[in-house]
Amino acid sequence: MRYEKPTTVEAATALLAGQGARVLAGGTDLLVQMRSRVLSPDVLVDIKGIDATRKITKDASGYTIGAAVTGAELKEHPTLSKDWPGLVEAANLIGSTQVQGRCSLGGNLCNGSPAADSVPGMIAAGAVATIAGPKGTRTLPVEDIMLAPRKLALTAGEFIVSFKIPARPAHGGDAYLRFIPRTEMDIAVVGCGVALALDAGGTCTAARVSLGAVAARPLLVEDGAKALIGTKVDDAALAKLEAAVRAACKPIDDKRGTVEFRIDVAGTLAKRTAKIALERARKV
Amino acid sequence: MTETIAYTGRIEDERLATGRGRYVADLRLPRLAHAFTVRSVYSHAKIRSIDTAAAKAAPGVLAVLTGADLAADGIGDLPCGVELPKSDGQKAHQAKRPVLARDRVRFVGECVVLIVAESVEQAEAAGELVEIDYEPLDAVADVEPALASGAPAVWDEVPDNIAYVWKKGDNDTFEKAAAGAAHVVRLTSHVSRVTACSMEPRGALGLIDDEGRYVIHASTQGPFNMRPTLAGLFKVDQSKVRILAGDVGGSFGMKSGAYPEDVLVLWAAKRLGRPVRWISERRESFLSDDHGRDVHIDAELALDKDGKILGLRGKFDVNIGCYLSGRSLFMIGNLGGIAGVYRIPTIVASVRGIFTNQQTSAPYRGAGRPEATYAIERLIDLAARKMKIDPYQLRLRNLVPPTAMPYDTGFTFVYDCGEFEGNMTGAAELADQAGFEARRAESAKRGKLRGLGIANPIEVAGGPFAKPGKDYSSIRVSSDGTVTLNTGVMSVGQGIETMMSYLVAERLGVSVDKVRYVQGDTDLLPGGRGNGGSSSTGVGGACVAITLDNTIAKGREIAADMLEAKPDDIEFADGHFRLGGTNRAVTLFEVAEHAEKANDDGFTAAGEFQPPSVTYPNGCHMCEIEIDPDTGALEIVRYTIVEDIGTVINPTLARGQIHGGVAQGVAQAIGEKLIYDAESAQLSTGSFMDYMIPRAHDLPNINIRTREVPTKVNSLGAKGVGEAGTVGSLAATINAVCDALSPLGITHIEMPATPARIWQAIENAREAKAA
Repeated sequence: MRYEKPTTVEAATALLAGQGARVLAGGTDLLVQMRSRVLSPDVLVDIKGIDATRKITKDASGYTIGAAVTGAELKEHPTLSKDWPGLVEAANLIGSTQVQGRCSLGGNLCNGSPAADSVPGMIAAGAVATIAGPKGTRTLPVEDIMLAPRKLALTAGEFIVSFKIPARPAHGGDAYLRFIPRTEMDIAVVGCGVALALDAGGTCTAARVSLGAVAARPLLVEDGAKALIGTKVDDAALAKLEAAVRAACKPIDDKRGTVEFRIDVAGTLAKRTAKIALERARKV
Repeated sequence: MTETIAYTGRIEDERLATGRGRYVADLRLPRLAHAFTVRSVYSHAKIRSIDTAAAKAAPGVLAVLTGADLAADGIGDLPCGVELPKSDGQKAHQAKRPVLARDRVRFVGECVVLIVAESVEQAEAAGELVEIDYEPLDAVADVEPALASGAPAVWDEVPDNIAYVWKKGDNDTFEKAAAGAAHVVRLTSHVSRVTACSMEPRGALGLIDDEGRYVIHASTQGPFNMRPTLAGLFKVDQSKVRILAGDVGGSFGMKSGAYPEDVLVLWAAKRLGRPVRWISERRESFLSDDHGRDVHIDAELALDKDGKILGLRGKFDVNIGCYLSGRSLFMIGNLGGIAGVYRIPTIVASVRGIFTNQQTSAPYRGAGRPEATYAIERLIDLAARKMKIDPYQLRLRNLVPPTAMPYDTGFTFVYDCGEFEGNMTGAAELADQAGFEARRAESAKRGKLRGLGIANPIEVAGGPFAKPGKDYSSIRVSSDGTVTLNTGVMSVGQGIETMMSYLVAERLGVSVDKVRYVQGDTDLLPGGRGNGGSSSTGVGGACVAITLDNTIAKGREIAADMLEAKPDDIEFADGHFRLGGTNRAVTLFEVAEHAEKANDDGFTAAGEFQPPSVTYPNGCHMCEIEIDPDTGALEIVRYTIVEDIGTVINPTLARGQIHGGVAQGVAQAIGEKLIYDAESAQLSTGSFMDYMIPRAHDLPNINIRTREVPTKVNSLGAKGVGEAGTVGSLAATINAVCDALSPLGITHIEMPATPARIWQAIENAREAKAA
């Protein structure tokens, strides 16, 4: 096995176009899978030598977050947690304190698990990935990247350089909640992200609702958003949201929870998440 | 016991927490070779053939060995020794565990091939080259299918899969009591299968020493138990086997016997002339550590109209896995606890060991005690619910009073002392039971369900009941100013080193840093209990107290010689031997110097202690929980224990034991469970991804109060504490969950009470109500 640490996007895409190459960011999933012999790549392409993958920049249009920026760095950023607390909280749910020092948004998404915590957080926030490849750079909304477990919409040689997160609306708030059999460092049975914006009168003008761990891929729930937009996010709207979310769920039965349980809890969780997002939107 | 030396924390912690522990994996020896075992991927299969040619040719490989090689070297299976009858009345089939499977595998994870190489990685890589041709057989995945007619047999010699049967008590007497009872309640429940998850995985390093002796450094809790087994297998005298246990990072009963890997490293060391080490990977631990509990309970309690208990009948089916040994009988030895702290006129019980294609089960912290307590304490709650009597009051009505001591339960145990009502009133006060209904109402306002569960555990300690095991210890006082203590019991992380060192320091009047603590070396003592059965303090500590007496008596003799007086006139205090009524004195270490000059042995003394009977730690647990009915999420909001462990020797360490015990019991009640696939008997919870291990967040602060009712069984008055927390916490926690759910008409929930299971119970109850 070869280890490469290119310093330019071009060099990285060239290496990744070869046979058996894998992207290494924090390694918190990849190295574990290699140790347990699930994966044995021929070439490890460490993207952390590329400046753009390791920094957070902010301008009028929002944030650009490098794909290999760690969970701890997201939390330490001076304004990101104020603008997108739900996204940061979702990312900070990945693993333990030690893992937070390594794990990244790009890795969490590209590991291809439907239960990845940061992914519904990014989808709710409206994150768009900047993807570099042999033919140049393209963008793709995060909800369109994971197609099925371990299956991504990236082609040979492509990797995610960064994520674009829009500027927070004037009266905007987001939140992420997950439900797990216990308290931390576990895989979500249901994860839910909600981002919404209010007008000056407190009416919801925009919303995005996302779910993790209840289908083969993280979901953007359009009907959930529709249930909130145009309302004051009152009990009636929340009841509609709950129903829309439950309708969107297509979970599997496994030892962590039955289908019925996951569907039911997803609805409950969506309501609770929306309430937190609403409270945050009202405060700004 | 008065504390004359200020306690400054655990002596061993700095060493253990800074990576300076001496675990098996830490040993560095020249020419050390590394072992890896190829394990069965089938739960039940015939082995047609094994092709090791490619593995033998792999880089760094020193040996690839199979069951046929073991047989050629004359090494047999691990012993069984169970004399109980099977269901047909004949003696139990000696279903011995092979060191390497020969013609048949019986569980996923069974050792089939041993590979020894220059490195672990080389051994593991060679393992992938071994070709085993299996012929899969139908698996017996669990107890229920094992007992079904036409079930496949784990052992051809035992077609009904019932390994042993055991009965006690008169069924007719119980039937009569039940016929005349106003109420009979029944509990059918499963105490789940769990695994110990010791922080230090199993491991062993075998070598042949210069005298040709078999020496094994092992992560074990019972060096003296392991020695005869290994000596037997290698057909040598016990003096030709030396077991060394250094620091051990958790055992919980799981490390109480010799395992196949222990035999393998010694055998390989003998064949290769090199030391050989095996260390378990965590995934191997899940598969191949002996599992715990897995007991199916069917029990009935008969009561009169006032709630007085008339009789108890319990049937216990234990999933013993696929092999049988004395370790498979844990439910029998400790079953006496089903009598609880109550007057029960008639008790009848039976235990059956059931073979399945799962890993063998063995004692696990409590070892039958938590199961017994769970049975009686759940039954009392079910009865209280049915009779609409407060569960606390129903317990009070049936308690054995202190005036009845010693109390013969009529079912094995005879309690020597105990003040059970005092435990309950103390717990009620500490848990603010009086304020519970107000807290329940406050939770309800927030849409939450709150519950309070009570359990009164009592457990046998320092056993076995029939004949308590003996412990040994020895002390050497050296002229260099140190005192060395060898103990037959041993620390597996719980702080015995500290407890014992303080005992010695206080009694001999030396500072604690002058005490050297040595454990786990079979060369140093005639025997020892190791760790288990809550006996380290009550038996091992009491043994050290005797050895200290003997040390002082010996010192008085030597001092008498030095001071030209009679031993009877010599007094010992504060590290000095003094001639009574004079100022003539010699120090402990001057006595040692004198003795060392006079004879080769120097100033040494030994002691042994076999308790005349067992002790009975007891207590009252109160668990308070809150449930979110929309998600089934459960939070333990309070946990209170009043525990009578007799005289408390070291309050900090005793509390630590209770904390850990509660954590282990609560975790089993709310989350831990080994699950085998119902078809293939593959372990589907074989990693920490899938197996719930509790974390700090899962537990509340635990309020502990000790109530000291000293036992007269040993000189310290200590009853034992290692299992106390676990024995009560299964029942207290499940009782709390059931109490919280009782407004919905739910009377019982099986462990583990996971969110999904609680949510499902609530859904079912709502549907039933709607229908």
